Amino acid sequence: MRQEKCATCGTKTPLSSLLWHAEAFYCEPCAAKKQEEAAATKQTIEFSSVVDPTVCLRCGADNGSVEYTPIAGLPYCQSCSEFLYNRPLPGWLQLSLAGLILLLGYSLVHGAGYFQTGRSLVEGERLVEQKRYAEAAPRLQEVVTRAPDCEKCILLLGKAYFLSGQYNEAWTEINKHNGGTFKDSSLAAEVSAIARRVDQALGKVQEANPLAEEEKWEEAAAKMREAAQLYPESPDIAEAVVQLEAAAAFERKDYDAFLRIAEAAWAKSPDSPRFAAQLSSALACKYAVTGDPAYRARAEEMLEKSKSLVPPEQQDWYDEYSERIRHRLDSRTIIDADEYNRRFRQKGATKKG
Amino acid sequence: MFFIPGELVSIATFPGVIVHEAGHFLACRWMKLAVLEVKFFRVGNPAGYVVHEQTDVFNRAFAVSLAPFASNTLLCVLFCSAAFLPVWELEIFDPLAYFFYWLGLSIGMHAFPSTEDLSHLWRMAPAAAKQGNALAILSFPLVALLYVLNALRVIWADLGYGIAVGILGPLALFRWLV
Repeated sequence: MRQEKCATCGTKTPLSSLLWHAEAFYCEPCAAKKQEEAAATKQTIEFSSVVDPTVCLRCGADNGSVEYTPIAGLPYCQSCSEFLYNRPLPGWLQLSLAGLILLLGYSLVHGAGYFQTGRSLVEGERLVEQKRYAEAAPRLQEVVTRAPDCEKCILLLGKAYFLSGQYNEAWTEINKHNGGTFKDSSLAAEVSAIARRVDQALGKVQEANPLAEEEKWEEAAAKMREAAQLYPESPDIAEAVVQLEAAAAFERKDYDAFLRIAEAAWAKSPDSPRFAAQLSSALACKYAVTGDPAYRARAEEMLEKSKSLVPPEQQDWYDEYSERIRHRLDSRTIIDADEYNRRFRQKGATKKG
Repeated sequence: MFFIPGELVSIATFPGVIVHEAGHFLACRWMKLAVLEVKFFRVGNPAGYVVHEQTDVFNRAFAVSLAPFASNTLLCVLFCSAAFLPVWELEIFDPLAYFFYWLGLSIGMHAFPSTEDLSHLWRMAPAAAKQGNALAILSFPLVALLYVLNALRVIWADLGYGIAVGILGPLALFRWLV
């Protein structure tokens, strides 16, 4: 341990307990006195502490007159040096860091529970961007079931439903959320515009339906075409247009036009039992008029095709329709459904032959 | 602009302070530098500190100075990734997810090294770069950027960084996984 004299009182004091100012050492009482005197004249004196290179700064171990090897310019004994180089993490921090790692693991497991839903959202969004709306809808439906407050998810689902022709489902999902109210966004504006367009199209369908009931086929077809122009994504409306145009052609006995419409519809929708049956009907008309057996053969082929495609819930429709086509083929007589019903399906009447 | 006392911010985001100082501390141990004094958290300014032996080896100084930047950023990304989907994408109210998001942001906003750490690196970098130290050369733009961001702490650049990392990191991670 080194000692030095106080510049004021001359007392010999351990170096580490002295203070340093203006190239001189001062003991604590003298340093305090000098500060008071300076304060009286509104001055300040700054003292700095003194480090004794022979005394360990951490544990105070005295190394006699030999200086310790400094670390960062400060004296530390051997054991304190080892401690400073290998300072252990406090126990509470070890526990906290271990807890943090466990928490991180748990958080990732917890977050993984949402991963599948998030993935379905991204996949659904990509399918919507690729205009594969029918494929996007079931994926997005999964997402909305899990995240019923997610506006973006609902709007994407609504868009997918609308643009795959499933407007009832679209409106159901959209109206479930805040009565159909969404925050302003480009997606909300886009879906709103689609919904308005669909609404207008359905208005036209509403106008076409009574005309069809009155068998004003041309007028009904015209209205339905307007609906289809507004909402070309709807397969139901597109099918209705074909049916009405075919009915109009049938009514004016333009069987070439009827066949052309039916061929086009079948070519566009080769999985539709109704379009297969309709083509069979048109071919049967041509057979009735021309007697060409090629028309009859193909009419029967299309009727079988329709039978193979028809789902169980439409079996009654198929039975009714096919009966009339077979009558047309067998009798070469072209009559409409009403006339057929009047002749053969009135109470007590049975079809012969 | 609004001012919130630093102590309040530190208290609200104390996990980040502790992780930051633990990063410095562990890097010192790893780089075999003596840790003279350490405070992992306190109510005051600074909220935590590590006083350690200086080194003339650039790579060691780089590791000690930027360890918290790396560890806090990584933990921020991971915790926020766990909570990203329910909080941002799916809008599902999940209190646990919000807790993880707070934890991630708290850690992320204490990622910046202190100006003292950066100054030390900035002083050492030219000499190390002259000797062909690639890390020193690469450190110039990084340290300069961190200097600027540190200066912008008065306008919440640290919180901004935490939010950016806590959103963009998980988003990139999620898009990469899907």
